[in-house]
Amino acid sequence: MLPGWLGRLAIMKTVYRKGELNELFEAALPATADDVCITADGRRLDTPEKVIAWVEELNAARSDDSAG
Amino acid sequence: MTRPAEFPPVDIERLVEVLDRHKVDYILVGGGAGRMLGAERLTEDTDCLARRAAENLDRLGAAMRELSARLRVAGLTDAEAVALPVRVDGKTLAAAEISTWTTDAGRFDVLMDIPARDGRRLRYEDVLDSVVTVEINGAVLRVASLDVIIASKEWADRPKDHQALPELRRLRDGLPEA
Repeated sequence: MLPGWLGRLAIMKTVYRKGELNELFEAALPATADDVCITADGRRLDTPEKVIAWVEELNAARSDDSAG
Repeated sequence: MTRPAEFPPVDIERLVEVLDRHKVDYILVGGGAGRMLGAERLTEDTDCLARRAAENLDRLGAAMRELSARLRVAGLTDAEAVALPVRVDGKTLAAAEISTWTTDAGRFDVLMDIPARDGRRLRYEDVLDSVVTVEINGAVLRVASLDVIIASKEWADRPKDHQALPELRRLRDGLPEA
């Protein structure tokens, strides 16, 4: 017997015409406070200051790469 | 409509078209995937699990530049975020496990991996076998399975995940609405 979710997929729409999919996403919830960037080494960038520091870090690494 | 005025509306069809044209390998995950699999609960943004290979992230960066992507930062307005000296390219994308963006096609988040139920990190290749493939205006969209979405939300364990999980489990188990 198929698991329930697979049975559900059998009737799921798999071809969408123009406009149909956007209707599904028309209304959006507001972003939440936990909706933040997380760096590859696990830092949560939950303030503008942390994001700016990360961007500066990335740009400095690029400068080092191009200089080296 | 609860969307803050400063965010462009989600235009997932444009997003899919641009990503498809740039030949980006990705899988739709998160609430948007749940919505496509039958969930009534709205989502905040479009989450994509990207294949981590450098050339794929370069293509994703190019697609995002076409969509005028800028970082989405708590505490900054969209106009302030646009002014940040961020290069939208493969190197920047590879430097984050999760990066949150605003694009002309709405809010868009890029994930390099997602958690399994046991906390292991699943990459694009680990999830690919179980995707559902959907065609939109001739473009192909791969959607993560309900099992994958549920596992990632169970691990994330945030209030919004707790709100979403009962419906997703009901859909997976084929149960009628409570």
